[in-house]
Amino acid sequence: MAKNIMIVDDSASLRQVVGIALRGAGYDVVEACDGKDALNKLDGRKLHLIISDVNMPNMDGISFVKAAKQLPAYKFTPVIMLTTEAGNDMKQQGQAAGAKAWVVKPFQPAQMLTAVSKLVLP
Amino acid sequence: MRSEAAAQKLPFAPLSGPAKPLLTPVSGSLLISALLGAASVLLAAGFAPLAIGLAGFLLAVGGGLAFYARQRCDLALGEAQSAIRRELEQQASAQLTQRLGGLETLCAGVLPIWSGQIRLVGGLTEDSITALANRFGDISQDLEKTLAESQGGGGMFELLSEAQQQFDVITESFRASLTNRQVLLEKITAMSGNTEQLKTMARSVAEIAKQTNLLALNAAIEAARAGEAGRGFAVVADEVRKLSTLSGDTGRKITETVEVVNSAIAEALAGTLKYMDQDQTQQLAADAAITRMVGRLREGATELTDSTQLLRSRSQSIGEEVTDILVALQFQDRVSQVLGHVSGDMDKLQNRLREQEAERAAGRAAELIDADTWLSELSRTYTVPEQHVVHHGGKPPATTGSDDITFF
Repeated sequence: MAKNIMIVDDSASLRQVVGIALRGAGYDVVEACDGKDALNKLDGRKLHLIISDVNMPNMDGISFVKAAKQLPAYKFTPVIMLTTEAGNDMKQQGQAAGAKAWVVKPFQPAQMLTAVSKLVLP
Repeated sequence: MRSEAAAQKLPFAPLSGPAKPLLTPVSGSLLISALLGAASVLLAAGFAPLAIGLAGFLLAVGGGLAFYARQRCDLALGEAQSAIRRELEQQASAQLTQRLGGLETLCAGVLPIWSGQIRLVGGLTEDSITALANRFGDISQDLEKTLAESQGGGGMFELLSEAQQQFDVITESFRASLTNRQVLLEKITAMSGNTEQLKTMARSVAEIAKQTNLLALNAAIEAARAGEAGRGFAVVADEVRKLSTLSGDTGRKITETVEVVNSAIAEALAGTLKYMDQDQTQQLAADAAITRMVGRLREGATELTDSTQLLRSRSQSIGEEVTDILVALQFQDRVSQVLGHVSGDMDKLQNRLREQEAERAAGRAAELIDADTWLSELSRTYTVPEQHVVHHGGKPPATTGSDDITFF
């Protein structure tokens, strides 16, 4: 059975690009257009990994990860932050929020899949 | 602050001007008159003490008057200069206010249009790039399917080898059948040799029957000669003669039957030999045909495998190209963020101008926009590293796929 990965990004094209890479590797993909939309979709469904942008309207990625970690069902779901931000301050914020990895856009699909395979829940 | 700015941009030189002359025309005239008066007194009255005192008095009065005239002139001149400066400053301020008002009106009209245009472009490119990504995603999936299916092309050789093995089994079976037929033929030939013995034996039976018949005939003669005593023996001799006749008939029938069987065996042998020759010819032809066919199929399989290998190689190259394109398409995310910041800043400026206008309409002094603070706030909104480079006047570097992954 394929593993489920949620992609949270306000850019539809970026969601599409990430989705192509993940689906090509055999994962099922759930898409959300911002942090608020993503929280609404954390409805108890099994997620093996979350990939989230940082800068988004309505709710940014850091706030979303903090909120997701408060939910018992997603407390241990690994999170990869995928963003154009490369500053150490932002990375530290992501780590403090509970993210497991920080990937800077534009990403190489192979590198992304490496990170995903390392972190995805069994 | 505004007056300072206006003063800095005044279209004329400041009125402080060059250093003031020591004497004005009026004060100079008074001083010269006093000097002339003092000289006249001294010339007319000689250098008597009284005359010297009077001349000194005249000089003091003239100098005092000259000094007073100088002060009055300076005061009047200063007042005139101040009046002119105020007038010019007011004119400059009015011009500046007029120009700033025009700029604010322009900004209020054009900023929402620019912002809207930027959002429109951002939306159009986002839609187009998403559609492109979809297309390339489909291409990528199709390529993967093609590659996966082409993996089976290499099994053609295994299939051919298996077919050849099956053909070999059939051919071997055919050869074994021919061998068996050969053995059978030899046995039938051997059996044909046995029929000669049967014929000899049949002839022997006929000869024995003939002799027995003669013997029975002699016995009957001897029985007749014996008269009544030989009557019973005559009966026996007659039965023996009948048996010999039957034996002779049986011998002939055996001979005839052996002839028929021998003839049938001979025909069967002839037919079998003929078919064996045909079978051997057909087997050789079949072997040759199978070898040719397998050879051609092997050549075809080799060509097919080469083509498949080429196809796979090309597909992999295209797949890598598509991956690169998918990486490149991520520029849209950066474009969206940069355009979002630009349009957001335009909206912010528009709102700020509206607030200023509202303040002025309410008769209050509007807070002026500080450019340094504004730029600093704008810089803090940047999320793409290249924005900082551009902000400080640099040339943005080319962006490529990043290997920057940090695990916590």
